[in-house]
Amino acid sequence: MTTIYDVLRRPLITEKTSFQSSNLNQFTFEVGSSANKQQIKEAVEAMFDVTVLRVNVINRPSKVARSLRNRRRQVRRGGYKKAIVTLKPGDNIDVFEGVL
Amino acid sequence: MKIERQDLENRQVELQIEVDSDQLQAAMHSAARRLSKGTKIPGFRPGKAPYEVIVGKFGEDVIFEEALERLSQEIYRDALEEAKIEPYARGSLEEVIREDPLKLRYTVPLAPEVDLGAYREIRIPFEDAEVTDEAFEEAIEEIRQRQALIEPVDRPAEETDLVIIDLSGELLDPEEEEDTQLIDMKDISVLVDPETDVPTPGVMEHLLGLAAGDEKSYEYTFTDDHPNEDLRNRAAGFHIKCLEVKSRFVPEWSDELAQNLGEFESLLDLRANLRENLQKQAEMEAENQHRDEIMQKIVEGATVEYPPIVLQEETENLLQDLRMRLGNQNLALEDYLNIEGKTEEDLREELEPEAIERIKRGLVLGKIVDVEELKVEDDEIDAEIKRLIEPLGAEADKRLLEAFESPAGRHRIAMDVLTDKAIRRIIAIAKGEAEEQDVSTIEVNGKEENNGMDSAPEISGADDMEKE
Repeated sequence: MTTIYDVLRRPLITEKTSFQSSNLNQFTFEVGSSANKQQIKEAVEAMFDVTVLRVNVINRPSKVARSLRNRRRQVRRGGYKKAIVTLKPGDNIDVFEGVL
Repeated sequence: MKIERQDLENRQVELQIEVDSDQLQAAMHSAARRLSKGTKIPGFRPGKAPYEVIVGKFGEDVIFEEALERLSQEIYRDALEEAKIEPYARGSLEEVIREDPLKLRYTVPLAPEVDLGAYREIRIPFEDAEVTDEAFEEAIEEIRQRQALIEPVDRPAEETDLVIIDLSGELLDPEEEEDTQLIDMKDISVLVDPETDVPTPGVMEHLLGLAAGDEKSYEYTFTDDHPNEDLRNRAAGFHIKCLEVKSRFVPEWSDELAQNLGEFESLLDLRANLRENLQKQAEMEAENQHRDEIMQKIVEGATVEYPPIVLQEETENLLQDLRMRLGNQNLALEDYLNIEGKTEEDLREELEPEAIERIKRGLVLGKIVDVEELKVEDDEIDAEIKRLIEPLGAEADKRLLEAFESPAGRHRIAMDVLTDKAIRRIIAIAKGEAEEQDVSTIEVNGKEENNGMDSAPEISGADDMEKE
């Protein structure tokens, strides 16, 4: 059984997402890799008591990088799936609540 | 911004300022921005993170402190302007009374206030210095003694001989953990003279009759009026080893001896010269003493009020002086303190009375310059520079000349000259030589000055001078 916490991992706060949240009413989350748009929509609506208009999902694949300790060793940096949720005008998520 | 003003004693003002919350918010935001510039916050370019994120990262307290640092100064400036207070030195933020709305308490030092009192009525007659015949004879005898011919001799030591000895001594009944070694000197020369206690009391009778190569041990009990309390009535054993005996032949006065002493034609010439020098020296001493007396009197008669920060600074200056003097002997202040067994606080406390005295003198002199309307003209400064440079000859360091000629240098010299003038003026007053018609104008000026604070630069200048 998946709970909303399995779907919504954490809010993603960056320069770009803060711009989107304050100007476009779009909020970005890192979500579980197997979550689909429908689940995300339901989870956000349940958690923050808002109306979701649209969900865009982007899968950021993992990347191969060199280890910091041993430059020759290759390591895989974890990938993640992120969802940009557009809310009904007037709705708001205090993204900073419980962050960091 | 609401300002509550309260006058404290010692020329200080307390300001309690309530800061508008808008101003505080603005300061917090700009502080947050400054903080974030120096740190990386993931997802943001440096300095671009929103306020809330920065608060989340640093915590409100840190940002508040950072904001306060600048805000408190800004507020201080504005408050001074609004309350029309002229600070004499940097004020200090004493405490944050409340954070919301922000309320701060400052203490502002004001310019020292000097009331000279009836300094114009001070009369101290100058007493001419005189060199007594005894003092003169003593001085000339000393010169003769210094001309003694010293020769090694092969006979037991007699009075007025010089012996070279090794001397060691230790306490015979040492208390626990006491250093028993009293003295341990090698190769010292001692004048055999029953009148003196050098290098240790009781040694003289044993020196008499000692010949080169002799060794001698003796016991001695210190008298009960020995300057060192720990040693009174204690028995000690001493050991002397005589290395050499030298005779001292003190020549009689003659024209020849006088000629040997320098550019003197005869004994008479030397005596005249010496008397003149002694006279000059005595006069200078008398003048200095006279000046100090007057100064003392004026300072006593004057009421001087100054904020504590002035005292702090002066003490700091004295400490710095000491540090420099020690530095010349390759000694750090810390080592000196160790040797003396004192802490820096002790030392500060010790220096305080001197600092107070110096402050008073400086302030009083500065005030006199004001009240007496003493001024320095440009050509006087030039003359002074010339006077300072001249003894150095044509080779006078170019940099030195530049230092003197720079605006700051000229200012310092002007201050020197001014202080000098002030001192000369008070001496004249004390001798009753100052023109009386000045008094009426001075009275008026004096009153004006008491309200104004523009005497500050002169005072600090005179102060500076004192320090050098």
